[in-house]
Amino acid sequence: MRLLVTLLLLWPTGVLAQGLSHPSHPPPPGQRGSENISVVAHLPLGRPGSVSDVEVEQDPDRPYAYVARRVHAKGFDVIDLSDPRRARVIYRWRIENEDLHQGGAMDGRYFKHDGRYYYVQSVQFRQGGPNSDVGAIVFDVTDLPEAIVEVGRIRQSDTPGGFHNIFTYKHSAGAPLLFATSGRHAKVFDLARFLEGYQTEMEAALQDENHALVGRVPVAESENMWSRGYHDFYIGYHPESGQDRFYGGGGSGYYVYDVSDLGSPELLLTILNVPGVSWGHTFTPSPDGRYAVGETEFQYQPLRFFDMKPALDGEVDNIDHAIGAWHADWRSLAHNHEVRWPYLFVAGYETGMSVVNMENPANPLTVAYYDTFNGRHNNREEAMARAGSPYTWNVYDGAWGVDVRNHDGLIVVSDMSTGFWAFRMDGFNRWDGRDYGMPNISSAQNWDDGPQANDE
Amino acid sequence: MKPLLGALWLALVLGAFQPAGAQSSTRNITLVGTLTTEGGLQALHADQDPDRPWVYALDASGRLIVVNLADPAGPTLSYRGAAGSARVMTAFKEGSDFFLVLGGESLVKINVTDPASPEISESVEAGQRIADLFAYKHSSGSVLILAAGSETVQVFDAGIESGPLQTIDTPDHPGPNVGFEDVFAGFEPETQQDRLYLAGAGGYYVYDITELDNPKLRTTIHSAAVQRGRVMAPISHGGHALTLASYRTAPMRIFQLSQERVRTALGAWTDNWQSELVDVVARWPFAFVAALEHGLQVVNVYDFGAPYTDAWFRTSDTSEFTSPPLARVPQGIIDVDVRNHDGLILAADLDHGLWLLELEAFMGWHGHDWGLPNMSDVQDWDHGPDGK
Repeated sequence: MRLLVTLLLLWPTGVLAQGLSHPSHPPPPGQRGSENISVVAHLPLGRPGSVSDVEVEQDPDRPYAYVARRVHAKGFDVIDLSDPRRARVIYRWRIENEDLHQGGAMDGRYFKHDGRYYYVQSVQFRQGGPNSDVGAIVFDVTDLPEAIVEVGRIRQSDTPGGFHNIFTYKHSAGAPLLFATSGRHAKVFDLARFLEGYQTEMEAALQDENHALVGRVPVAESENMWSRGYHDFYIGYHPESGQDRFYGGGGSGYYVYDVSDLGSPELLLTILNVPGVSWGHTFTPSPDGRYAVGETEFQYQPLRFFDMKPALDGEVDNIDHAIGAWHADWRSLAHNHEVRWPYLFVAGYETGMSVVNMENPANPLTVAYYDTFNGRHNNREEAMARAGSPYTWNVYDGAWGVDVRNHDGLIVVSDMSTGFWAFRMDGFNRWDGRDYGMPNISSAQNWDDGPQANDE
Repeated sequence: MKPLLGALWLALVLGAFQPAGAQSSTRNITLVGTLTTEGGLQALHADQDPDRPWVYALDASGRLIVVNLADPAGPTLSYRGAAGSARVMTAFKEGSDFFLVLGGESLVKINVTDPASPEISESVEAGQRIADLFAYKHSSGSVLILAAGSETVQVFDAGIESGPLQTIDTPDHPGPNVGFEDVFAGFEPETQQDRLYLAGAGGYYVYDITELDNPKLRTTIHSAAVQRGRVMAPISHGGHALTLASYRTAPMRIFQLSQERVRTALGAWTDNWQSELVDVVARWPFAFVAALEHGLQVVNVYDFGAPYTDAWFRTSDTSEFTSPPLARVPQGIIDVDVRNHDGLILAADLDHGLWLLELEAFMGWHGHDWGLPNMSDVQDWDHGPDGK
């Protein structure tokens, strides 16, 4: 009998767990979202194609979200979430001489310094119009909902075309930093120094545009590179090593640098020569820095999950394969994402918003979804008529950005065509990494006490 | 109790880790015959002569196997080589003799006119890893052996020992230079050109090789996310090509070949986005795809922008797998061929051996029946390419 029990224990168990399947598109009536997702708010914001990224403030006393606007409306909208079910736009900021500007606002991030709150809006204006040297515009938003005040503009005239993506980070040394895509680097600006500069009486035009530039993170060289710069990045504190780590997507894949010393970034590892990845787009680590999710902005490409441990342990310099992959619809592609371990919140363009359980990164599973996109998937003619852009495959439409409010688990999404959305997922009422046995590290910063305090 | 335990033990040893007999299919696929070979098969090539009912195959160790298909319902082993290290193979006819060329570290030409007793007739060191071989009847009348390798494509005539007549390097491309993975040649009646179709470093390439000493690059496909093309199979009119890429999750992409530089696929297909598609044979409007554990897939590519699955035959039940897709050891259907004169579909299985299948209403293929040139991987050795 003991043998029988032993044999039964040896019997192969646990076929691979299966997640939810996204419905076919268009979804059957009433099945736009999974049963565990509730729509809290939806605010259409304007013409299709005029919405880009979204940012939500994390302070429980500040119920504001920001949605960047582009092409048909160049600026950003401020959304009041004090009663999420009655979310409303309370402010629309637009660049002066809007019609003269070519391009629009892209990524938005807020930060807090000396008791005041600021919102940084990245912009990309082409050289055929004004302000092509402006990468980001900084606003004092402390006095919302009554007022916002433009503080100043971060210019980089040597690399015109603006900042496509930005990331605000509370460095372990204490400074509030802005990382920005610019030329062949991620440029690092000390936002405290930037604010001090604008508090002088010197004319803005006379100030050195590099006075707040404190670092440049390069893209490591490799053979026949797809591109030379970064597209996107994430910066996170790594408690185990005490390092501030930079996770960049661009070049020919993904790159991790130690940026504890901003004057001397140190390359820790690369993720290159991964089949299907000729370029990195968005790249986000798990809170402990072991795993990372990588997106490459090409149709038919899944999100890929990498185990960086062999490189972090010094066994290899480069990671050349993914251990897992995830798709909502293989005809489309995912876009921006946010990690709140074990969940991954995905803005998936035409597939809308998805939540993926990545506790087993080799077998990530869809656990929730909501389709925010109205059009048909992978229909190039319709996308062309709607967005008017021949950019590559015309599958770039739908959910662009996603953010998660840690103190109550509110999920916000910006959809290029359908506007602002807020959701709740059953059982996800807040996020603190420590609840999951992880460092409390995410894109949400501890502006008052710094990243070290997050692990106490 | 002991017999019960014994039975349980047997079930564990024999059945638990490899669900034998798990094959399944759509209603329109019929399993005609099968032959189990020790260690499975890694490549096969059907003899297309209606009077020669043979299929040549390579087993897991690279040994040559010849199977008699005189009765497709009961295929029999005619020959098994003593040793070998080949990975790929092609076949051609010269005069009244039939030959195979096997590729691995070297190229070996074997006379298989009598398939029960093949004889090595020539052998030459390849000087590079050979990834694919293709025998082509050029419009000039020559038989060419095209060898795609880790560095170049080498073009031999039927006497391979005299060395390559021509070599073609990898064109400029983004990403690392990993050489070539796949080679195909076909005649295009509209332009009266012999065309060479290559997959490898950077993507896919089409050359005009009408003048063999002056190959001209006609089309370059550098599609985003394809650093390494795996297979390129043109549709018989030469205007479109089916392509596979060298990684799991890559769909079959369909490109239009009308421009010098192509980036964007016209359409794409996969049965399951986690699949690894490893081989495709085009017989428009069908494409026969080897998809490892997802089996043999028949895809209707009548509308290049909207291909769809028409039939499938699987040898594994993927719902019972315990390993994540990106960690799977390759198993299942690795190679596929289609016999044009009767439509028999042949599939090489890494685990099992040979599968012989029929697709409902597909009783053979000739391009003219579909209003197209009769161009496929099947050559007319006696008369040369169609339309010449």
